Amino acid sequence: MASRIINYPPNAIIYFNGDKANSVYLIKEGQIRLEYFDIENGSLIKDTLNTGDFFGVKSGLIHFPREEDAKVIKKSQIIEFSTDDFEQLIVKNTNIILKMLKSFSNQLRRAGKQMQKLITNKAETDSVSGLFLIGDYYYKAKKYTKALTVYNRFLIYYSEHPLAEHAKQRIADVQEAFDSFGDGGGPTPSFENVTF
Amino acid sequence: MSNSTLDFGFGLFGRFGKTFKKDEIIFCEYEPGNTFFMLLEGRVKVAKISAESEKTLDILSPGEFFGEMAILEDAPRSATMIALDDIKVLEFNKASFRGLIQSRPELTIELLRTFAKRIYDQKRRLMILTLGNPDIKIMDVFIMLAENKGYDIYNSTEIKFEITAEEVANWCGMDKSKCNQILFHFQKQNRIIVTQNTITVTNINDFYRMVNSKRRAIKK
Repeated sequence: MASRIINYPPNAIIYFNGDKANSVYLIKEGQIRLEYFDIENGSLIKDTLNTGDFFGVKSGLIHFPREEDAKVIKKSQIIEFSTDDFEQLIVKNTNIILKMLKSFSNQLRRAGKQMQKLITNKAETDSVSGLFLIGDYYYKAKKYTKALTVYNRFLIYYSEHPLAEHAKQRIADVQEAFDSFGDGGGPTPSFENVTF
Repeated sequence: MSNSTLDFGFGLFGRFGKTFKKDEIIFCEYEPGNTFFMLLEGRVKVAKISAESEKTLDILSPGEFFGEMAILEDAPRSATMIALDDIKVLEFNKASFRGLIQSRPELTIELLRTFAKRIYDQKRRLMILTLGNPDIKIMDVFIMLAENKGYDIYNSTEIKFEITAEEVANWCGMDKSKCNQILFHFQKQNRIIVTQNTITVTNINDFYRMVNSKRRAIKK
């Protein structure tokens, strides 16, 4: 398909959720809104986009079904790029690529957090506690080599943190267990859960 | 990912290459990170580890990349990566990543496509996880797998999947033993046939109707 400029009046629909995607759009002038349902709670989300914004990028790049309805709010001039033309456009423009990578990365991170919440039923853990607890997991599982790796990394990043002394003690204990029994061997370790 | 990415990768091994032994931790969740990796050889496990448990979120194959969020967003690592085999990777920091984008822009289009696919996959998995009922979650795993294989679910009945019960459990974030219980129950009902490395769904359409019915009920 050839790329083209399309004039849309207010309330026009550019595409619907589920439509097959062969194009990426750029708002040359105007305002549109993307509408979709939140996966977790089913609420309707509305994102407003303005002059200069791209949309339909993810679905257009990989020819997957559209993820949202795209509706025109103010009279708009929209450039519809074929996927090939869009790739030609951005391939020379490092800044646009980086901006898009960051946006995708952000979306991935948010989806990852939602998944974490649903899989583990836990609220977010801070980085310091989180890393220490990974060490504890391996220690309890008698995976001493891995536990040593994690506690030692903890000390690289957080040598000044109050937990550093605990990490050093853990390293000493784990090393002793490893020297005596090897990975997987020996009694199940019991140690105090460190409070944070 | 395309072969051209892999060819390109090996050419840079001298400058950016690194190896890890089987079972080695590449990085832990929560570590600050400023490098990203392209996997050239071997497989890598993506894991979520808490004090009590380790869950596998995904397994990456050669041609895939990981750790990219750390250099794009200046944020801590979002999962623990463990080598499942002896592996070879390319490791890039911010500066070399920027250089990579400028010198090999076709690679960055590939990166964007891979990201886009990952976002779709994550969202699809979230759809599974938001179904409260464990039986229905497992059904939706099979539907997702059928979608990924390009099956026309409306017009399909029996589909064979090369998958283990443990992998099904990972997909829906369920304990292995609970998942096994449900799969055993499904087998008794003749909904599935389980062998060592395959699970055949005898009527995928049935699963599809039940999952959709549950989703509609949730939306109300």
